[in-house]
Amino acid sequence: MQCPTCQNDLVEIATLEGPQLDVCPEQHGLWLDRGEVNLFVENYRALGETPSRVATGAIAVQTTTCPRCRKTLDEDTVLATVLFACRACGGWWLPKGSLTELNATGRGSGAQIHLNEADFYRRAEKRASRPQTSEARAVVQARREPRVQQVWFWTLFLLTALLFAGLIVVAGIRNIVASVQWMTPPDTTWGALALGALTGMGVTLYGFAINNRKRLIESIPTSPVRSLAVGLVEVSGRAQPEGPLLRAPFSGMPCVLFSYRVEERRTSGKDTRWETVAKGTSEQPFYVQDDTGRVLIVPFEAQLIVPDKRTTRSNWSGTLPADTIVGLLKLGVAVDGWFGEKSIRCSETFILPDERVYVMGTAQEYQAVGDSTENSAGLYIGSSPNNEFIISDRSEKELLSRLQWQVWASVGGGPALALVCLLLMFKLYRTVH
Amino acid sequence: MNGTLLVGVLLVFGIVSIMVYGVGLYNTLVRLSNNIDKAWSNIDVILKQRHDELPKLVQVCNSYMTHERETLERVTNARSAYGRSTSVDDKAKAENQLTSALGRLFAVAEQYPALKANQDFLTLQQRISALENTIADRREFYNDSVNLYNIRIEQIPALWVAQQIGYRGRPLLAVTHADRADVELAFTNRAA
Repeated sequence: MQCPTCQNDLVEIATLEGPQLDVCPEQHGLWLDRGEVNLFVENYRALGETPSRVATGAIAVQTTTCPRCRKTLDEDTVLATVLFACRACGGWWLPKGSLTELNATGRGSGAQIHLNEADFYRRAEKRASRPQTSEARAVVQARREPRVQQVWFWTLFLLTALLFAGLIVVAGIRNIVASVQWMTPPDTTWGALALGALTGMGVTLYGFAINNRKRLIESIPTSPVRSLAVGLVEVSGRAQPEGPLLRAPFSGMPCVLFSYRVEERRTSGKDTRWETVAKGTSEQPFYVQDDTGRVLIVPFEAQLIVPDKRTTRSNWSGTLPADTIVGLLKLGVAVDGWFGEKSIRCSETFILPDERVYVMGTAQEYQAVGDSTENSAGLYIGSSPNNEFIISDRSEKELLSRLQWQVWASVGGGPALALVCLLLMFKLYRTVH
Repeated sequence: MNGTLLVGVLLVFGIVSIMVYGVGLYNTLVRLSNNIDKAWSNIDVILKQRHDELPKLVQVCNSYMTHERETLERVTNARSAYGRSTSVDDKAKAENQLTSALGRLFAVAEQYPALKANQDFLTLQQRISALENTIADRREFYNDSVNLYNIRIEQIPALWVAQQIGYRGRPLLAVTHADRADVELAFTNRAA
């Protein structure tokens, strides 16, 4: 915001009385937003009772532009004090000394509100002349520099090491190309071993990705619903329906959230595999309630970690249960093929009402659902492009335990597989010069 | 396959694994550190809201509690002490004093039936109490965030990475002994 007199930027000053004041560092005046003057004038009710719009002598302003909304300021008189009011936003521009006058004129019968308007201008002038980089910012900057240096050092070191290792690999390949004979020429087994080595390496890197997700879940404390803040949050509580209960597609179980998958057995020559023909998750919002309140969860694009498949239907005997057929027909999946009933496997998972759930997602504001979120900040939890969104019927501890096992299996089994395959390749498919 | 190629492949795989793991570990430490800053900012936001309510509260109480000037001044002084604080530690101490002063104010207000019946006072009291509940929750959240960070930077192998990048332990928000003491009320002569 700018001073209407000199166009300098107004400086924010904290006050004992309440609001941050916007003060001109050149001491031309200060700005009060609508209602703020009530906190500086004891008998603030008298402010509304005085006749106004009495144009008196001019206090020169180069422009009559409101610092807040850029509309025109009107000269006004309140309790015999001249000021400039904005009819659009309700704020007041008070030339220097006007606030002290209002405070003195509007004195009530109780304890006085003591103002020191000169102190406001002094502080504004001091803050305006402060150098750009404050001492605190300089300290943070100094702290950040060694960290950046160390990161660069280790990055360059590892990249250099990687470069040398790459040169060794290239030398090895050149030796092989220059070699005269293979002890055993490469065959399908060699291909399988190479694939096994690559798979082992890929599984190891996948294990690191799971470890990162596990660390993310560990690093966020659980928030009470009552005091959620915008951003990535973690809540734990009992699932409650937002409206009528849903019905799981195959079992008809009343639930607040369900997920399903339909697979069909398909044969191609000698190969037989199960192919997913339909899958989905319900998108009806539901509540999570803890001891402090409840928050709306919008499960769109959530990753469900509900490991126990509650119902599995398969027709190994050749017949699907009637409710499963009804569910499949509702989903638009044909159960009959050219040669009679298809081989179909259906599975579903669901979260029951009052079941304990864990949710990690992004707390966001949304006016339309503000009334039904029932937490103090009016937030709901949903998906966000930059953050994970997980809904699970397991506790955080159980979830972390499952992820930890996956990490150990991947980071332990992956390198072991890669190493075994590489050693076998080395042993069985040596080259000789 | 020859020994050179085998060694080379193992080296490449090992170095890539170290890099991927190291990047993940570094990013985790950065996230834990930033979570603490964010947790404090989230407390600050609510404190600001509470501070904005305090002048209105003092003004309403002024009219009724004419003999409790000291109680009202404690609230005002504690609020201004927060405004002067710069570090998290100083702000936390000032905030503890303010919470204590407000508790005393509300306890004293119980002796003024006319004030308790005032709708403005009741609204402000409820609003400030709700904000204090949120502040208490967020203080716990802040301490949880600090605790996670402190544990992580002392565990191996994060300890080595933390030392390299200069990450040190951070203090928890604590309530002082004085703030834990019971509020002592001295009732002066008041109009009925």
